[in-house]
Amino acid sequence: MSLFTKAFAARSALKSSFLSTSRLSANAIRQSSTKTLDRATLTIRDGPVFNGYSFGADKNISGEAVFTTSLVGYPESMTDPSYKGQIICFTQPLIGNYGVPSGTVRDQYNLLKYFESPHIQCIGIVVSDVAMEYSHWTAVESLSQWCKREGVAAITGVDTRALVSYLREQGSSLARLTIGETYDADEDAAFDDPGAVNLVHKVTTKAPFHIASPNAKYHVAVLDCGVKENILRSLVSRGASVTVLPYNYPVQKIAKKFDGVFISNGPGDPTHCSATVQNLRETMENNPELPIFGICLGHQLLALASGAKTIKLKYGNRAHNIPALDLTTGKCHITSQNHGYAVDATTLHPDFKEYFVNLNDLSNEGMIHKEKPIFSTQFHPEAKGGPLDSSYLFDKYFELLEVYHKKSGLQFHADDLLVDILPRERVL
Amino acid sequence: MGVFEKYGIKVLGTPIKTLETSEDRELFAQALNEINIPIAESIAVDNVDDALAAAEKVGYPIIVRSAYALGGLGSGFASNETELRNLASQSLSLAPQILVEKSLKGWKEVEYEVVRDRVGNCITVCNMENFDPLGIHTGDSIVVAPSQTLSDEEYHMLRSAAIKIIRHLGVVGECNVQYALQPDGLDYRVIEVNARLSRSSALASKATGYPLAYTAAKIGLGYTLPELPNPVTKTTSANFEPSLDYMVTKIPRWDLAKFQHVKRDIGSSMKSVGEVMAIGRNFEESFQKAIRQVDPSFVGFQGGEFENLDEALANPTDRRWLAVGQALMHDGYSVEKVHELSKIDKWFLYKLMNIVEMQKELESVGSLSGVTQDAMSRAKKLGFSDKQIAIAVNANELDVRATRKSFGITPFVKKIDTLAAEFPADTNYLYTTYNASTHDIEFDDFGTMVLGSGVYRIGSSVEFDWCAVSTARALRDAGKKTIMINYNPETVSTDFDEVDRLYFEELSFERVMDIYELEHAQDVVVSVGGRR
Repeated sequence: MSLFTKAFAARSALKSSFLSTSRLSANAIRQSSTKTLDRATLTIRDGPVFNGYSFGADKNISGEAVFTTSLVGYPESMTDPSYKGQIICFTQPLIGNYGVPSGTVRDQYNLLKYFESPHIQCIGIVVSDVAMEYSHWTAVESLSQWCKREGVAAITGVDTRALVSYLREQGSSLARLTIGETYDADEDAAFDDPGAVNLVHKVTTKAPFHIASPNAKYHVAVLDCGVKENILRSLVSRGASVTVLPYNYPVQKIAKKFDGVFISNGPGDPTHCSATVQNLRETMENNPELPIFGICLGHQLLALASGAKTIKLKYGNRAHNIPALDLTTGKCHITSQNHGYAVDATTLHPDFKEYFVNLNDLSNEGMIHKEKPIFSTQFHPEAKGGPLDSSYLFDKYFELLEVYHKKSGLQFHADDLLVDILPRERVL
Repeated sequence: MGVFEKYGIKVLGTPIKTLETSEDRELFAQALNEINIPIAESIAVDNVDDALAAAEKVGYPIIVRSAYALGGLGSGFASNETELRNLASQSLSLAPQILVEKSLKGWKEVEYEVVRDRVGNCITVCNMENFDPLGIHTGDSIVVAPSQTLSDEEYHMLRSAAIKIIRHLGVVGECNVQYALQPDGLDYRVIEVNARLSRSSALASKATGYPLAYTAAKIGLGYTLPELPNPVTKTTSANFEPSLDYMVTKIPRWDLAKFQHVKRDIGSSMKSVGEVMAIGRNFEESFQKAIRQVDPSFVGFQGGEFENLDEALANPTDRRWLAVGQALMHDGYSVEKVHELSKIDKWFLYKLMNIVEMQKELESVGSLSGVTQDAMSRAKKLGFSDKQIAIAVNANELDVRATRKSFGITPFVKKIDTLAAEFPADTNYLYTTYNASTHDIEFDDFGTMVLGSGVYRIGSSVEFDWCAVSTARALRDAGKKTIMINYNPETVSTDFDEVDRLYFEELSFERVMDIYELEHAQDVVVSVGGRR
């Protein structure tokens, strides 16, 4: 077939479809096109304005705009308490492809199977191209349905690359997401700044709860600053029952009853958690052999407790592809991250040394005590979402638990801590 | 004594033993078995009881193949013990031996490009997902990158397995791992491992901007990943995994129509002669660009004539996407029905329905004057070409172009920088998109454009790419700024260090004019050889 006749065939094939437009009416109700969506506007304070379409809750919100470059894992990110109060921009342009799995299904440990906490934690999301129709065997609803049900605002059709380029140059910025045809600049006066409030207080469990591990060998106290389900799973599945305490619980008073203390991830500025810092300082002073492990905000709080300082990063590190170099071995791991603050490595207490460093921007990624069984990481070894390369750090923690457990001869008495009467899930 | 040994030649990079293990079916199965990574197994049996035992081992559903029978005689599917008992006894009456395999029909095909250095640091540079389900040679598959239908759990399960495999095999350099992934669960099988740079690596390299061959060569020389800089940003590390803020579609170019009496079905042996890659910020844009690149006679996603459409959907051929177009666009098939027949993931089909609806909306408008700014904008965001719109509304391409520009609808230029704009990158690797509101670059080069020769096909291959590259080099030597446009991922002309600006783009009149106008180019070298 010559090119001409081929083109002609193509043309007539297209023409013939003109006859079948009667089916348009049936298809027109598909909720796939931006045609059916309300207009929405994303305004950056003292910055650019982006027009798009609303696919989430019909309400105006404002907060800190941050971006993540992760390619997968929007349900995990959105339910991660570390994103509390933020507006997340996804640089992966196609979001919602595989829908949203159930937020109530639990695994064998009574932990949420698919979510990192029971609800969406961010207040808004910004995407380039949302999938209104999804395809996945675990999905029970679309991203749009989920956002609407959870009261989370969402905008699609935004040049997310332009937004990210702006945030990269200007640093994290306050933003406002408004739904509706017209944008009213007068209403634009107020921007909520989640950095000004203690976000950890909002996400922590309101009372202690207990997750029992089948065949538990150890008992670990977890300070909940906004703990992800997979952190608890990483502990429980390895053989530690965990008693999860509110972030400001005076853990120093009961630390002796545990084989180890763990400090979780969480949102915002670590300096807002001054009580936790003081409690941790006393815990470390009074229990020199107690294994302590902290992740993300937990790392920053441990650093503060030991006398180091934290800084606010220009726009934070939120990604699944960040190289963290282990300074003790020279090995490099690809890590999952989500933080706006970091530990200033030059201020580390002389008893600690830098454990990991970010190979991209040379920011601190962890610290380790020179003698005591204490270490912490800025990145997330538990992943969900993200790479699983550094999950061995939980194994390392369990080696420390084993050593301490043998030495202390501590026996776990449920009565002692009344764990039998504690709730079996987060207290919201 | 081998020839390398005889002449005292040291083999750098991946050791020969690793290559032997990855190429030898038995050694390979044994090696993966050692680390509990499942592979697609085939067990030969000569009686019904052994067949049932084998099925227990590999898991139902089962495909039975007759070892020595021609034309698939005695082959079939069994989804439980009773069915297998019947099938096996029937097959064994026809042949002395049968092969029992797990049926992976309808499973997703996914691959990862992995890099490991001599001390064991590993990264996955890119993953890719096939548009068609398992069964088609990867060179003959329509492929998207990154994967689009995998959840975090699936993505990282396969990523972790890939890293475990190359650590175990001892790869030093680049490696490709191909998987079959269960579409409704977390089961998977390794199909093959290529411990070398392959055609997939070339695609992964162009798709991400990450210089795979360069990095693999440095690793072969003994460098470790943390020691190497990311050559795109120059300030960050090569020990990272690219994050894409766009997606790419690869479509193979078959020239089967040039042969008489050739069967058009595609399967486990490769029949394509070249491939194209198209970049967009949504699937529709990327896919429609790729279709036009494969053959300019296609205006975009469209139908074709088929004697038996259901059969054309069920059996992969070079024309299957046309059958999908015919079914969705003209014959009123639902997404569910096309999925049932083809097993193509519904996500792709839903996205294609967006194109179908736009097409019908334009057709129902019927004239260019009736096309609103909003409709024009939505059509361009879905990857419609001016020509495609013109045909739909009975106008001509130039009038559509003029109307579009009068609406202020023109494409934006974005960079491919390996890390989704997280860090500044002074890269000249570019593409255009309508799904944007700003340009990444300024247009102050006033360079000379060179048009590449497009997809490799019978009668036009690498020799014409040499012409384009040589032209660009000569222009550079003459002190001119150069702009290359091409869309063939297998070429040197699409290496971003050959020219001042590389547009990985369509070579259509529309796109060349768009770039010409944006760049205020001084001159255009339209052809340096080749034929159409």
